[in-house]
Amino acid sequence: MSGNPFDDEDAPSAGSDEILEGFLCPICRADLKSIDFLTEHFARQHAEEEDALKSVFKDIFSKAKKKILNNFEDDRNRGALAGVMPTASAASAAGGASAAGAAGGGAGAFRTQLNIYSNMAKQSVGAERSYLEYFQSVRNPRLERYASETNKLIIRLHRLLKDLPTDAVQRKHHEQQTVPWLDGSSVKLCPNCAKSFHIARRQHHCRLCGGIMCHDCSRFLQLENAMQLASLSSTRGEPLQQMRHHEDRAIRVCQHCLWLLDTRQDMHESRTCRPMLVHVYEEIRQLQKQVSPDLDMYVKIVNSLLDGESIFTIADAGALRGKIGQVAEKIDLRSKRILTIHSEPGSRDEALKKAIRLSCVQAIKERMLSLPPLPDEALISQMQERRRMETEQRILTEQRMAMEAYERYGAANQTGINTEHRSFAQGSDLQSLNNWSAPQASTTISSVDDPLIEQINIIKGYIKQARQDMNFDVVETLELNLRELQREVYERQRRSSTPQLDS
Amino acid sequence: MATTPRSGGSNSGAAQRPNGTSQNKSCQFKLVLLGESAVGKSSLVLRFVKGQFHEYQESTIGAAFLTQTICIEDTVVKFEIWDTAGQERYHSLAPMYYRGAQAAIVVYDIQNQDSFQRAKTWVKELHKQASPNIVIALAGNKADLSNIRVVEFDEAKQYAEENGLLFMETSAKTGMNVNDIFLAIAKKLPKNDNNQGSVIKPNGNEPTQTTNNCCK
Repeated sequence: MSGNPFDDEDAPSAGSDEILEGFLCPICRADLKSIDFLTEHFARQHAEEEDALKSVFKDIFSKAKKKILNNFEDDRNRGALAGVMPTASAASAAGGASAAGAAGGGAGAFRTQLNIYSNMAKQSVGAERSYLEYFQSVRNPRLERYASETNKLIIRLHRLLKDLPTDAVQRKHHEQQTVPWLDGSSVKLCPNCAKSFHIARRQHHCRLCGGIMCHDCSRFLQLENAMQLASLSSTRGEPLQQMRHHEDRAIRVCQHCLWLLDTRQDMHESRTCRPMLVHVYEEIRQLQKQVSPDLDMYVKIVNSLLDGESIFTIADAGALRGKIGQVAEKIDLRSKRILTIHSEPGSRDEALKKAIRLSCVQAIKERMLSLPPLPDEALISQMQERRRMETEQRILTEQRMAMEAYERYGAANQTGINTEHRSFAQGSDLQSLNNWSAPQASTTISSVDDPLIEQINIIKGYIKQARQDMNFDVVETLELNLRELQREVYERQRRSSTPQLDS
Repeated sequence: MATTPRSGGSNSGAAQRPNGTSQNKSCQFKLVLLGESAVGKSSLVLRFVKGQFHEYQESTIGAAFLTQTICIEDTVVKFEIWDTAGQERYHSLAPMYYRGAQAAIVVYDIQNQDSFQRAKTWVKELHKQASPNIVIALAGNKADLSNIRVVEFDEAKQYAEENGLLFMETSAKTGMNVNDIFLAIAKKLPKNDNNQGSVIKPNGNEPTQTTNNCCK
């Protein structure tokens, strides 16, 4: 012995540093990840390292294995193990196969770099077939059976409750008449809990199916609920209230019947009940729908103002803008409320809430905040001024052209035109042309006489109303209508004045 | 050892040794640890290889592989240690690991009679199925807790003698007898199958050089 061989233990020699752990192959030290993979790998890769004697055994075993494999596909791993280690006890081999599943997830802190999974070819999905039809063919009759059973119960409940006597004896008679009770003479045990009936544990009957049970297995359906289920109005509530005992105000039913009724009610509720989120979201949708035409209208108004048209006023635009702003605020508020509705963190509800909020914010940003600002009043008046000038110019040229035309053809048609114009000559009221046209010569005295002027006044009233209601579509049509009328009046007045000039 | 091809699979010394001296022999042995779950197999190995001890050693999955090189006289002995998982579900893997092993340490817990019985069945299994010249050592671990022992030293000693096993009571916690048991195994292992070093050098001249060679 030469000194202590462990002097330098802390500095291990090369290669011993790393600790491998896992399903290591004892020969190539690859980590095979599971018992099954390891045994199979060992059998395949390292079989040739067996000695001669064992290889003879192996041949025999592998032949046997093939036979077994054909018969028992499941015992594949066991067979492989037996093939490699013919001397290994069968028990240990079986243990390996059965433990494979449990050990599958195992993985040590130290793994080899070689990952066997990456080397394996990916398996393709095999043949598929849909079992939907079969599923439906099984499911539908079941649902139907439940539905018909439940319906039967509801009908019975209805008949039972329709005129339920308050007197106990009469009530029992009525109940037995509605639903025949099973004969309990041969029933010795409660069918539900299998406890024997005796003087202390008496037989009871389900009022809906007539079945027998003990008191402990009975369930009670409160009459109020039963009324609701049978969709009877509870006008008979008062006599029912008079029943003294608590049990009298309920119907004895068995678990199964109660379950059927409960299931029906749950389904009914789940169908009709709408969560808070849906309510608020629908409000948001409604608001968005409402505001959509307003948005278009606002853009139209602003454009028309910028064009110098006088159909709308700047006050209209301001009012509409205010309205849109209010709606935007409402939407914002509601989407915030949706966010505060409780839901599980990380759930789909949570994601939905966030998505709604995001879409609301985006909609507000894109559609409402991006609206053109209110045009400057000075700019508007400037535009209107220019437009007025242009219009006057146009009118002037039109007049001149009309005059020229008239002069040119005047001689030929003079008489005809004169008569025509004279017929319009009576009402020369210019009150309605207040914007840019001729001076307001006469007052409202004659306006009542002229149906055209009257119409104009009525329309003006409508416009005022429509403005108040912010119904700008109507305002527009009315304004245009008004213009037509005014033009008509103007034309008439002009035509009536032209002949006067001539004459 | 002609019967088992892998036994004494000694590398050609020159390739392994850092300074390239070819005077010393080098042997490589496969050693396997067997025994019931939680008797301290991994702790023993960790103490031997790294000199460490973890109070809460995690349960081994599958098997662990470690190496340690020690020097005995003029021979560099490299242990390839297969530390098997003791849990019953891994039992089927054990034959794979002890096959072709030149040495085995069967570990039991001196506080646990069942683990001693399990050790006996392991010994039996090794005698039946492992290579015939396998050196088996029996290690009664957790000797630091000898005041609450269940398996008596003499009882185990007697069993070891009857079956021709090396026997020591060890403690991975205190390090007691851990190196010694590996050393004893190394000594008992045949090292003359090395084709290059037929002559065993005398004891006297080597100590410093040996340390230089193998452990740097």
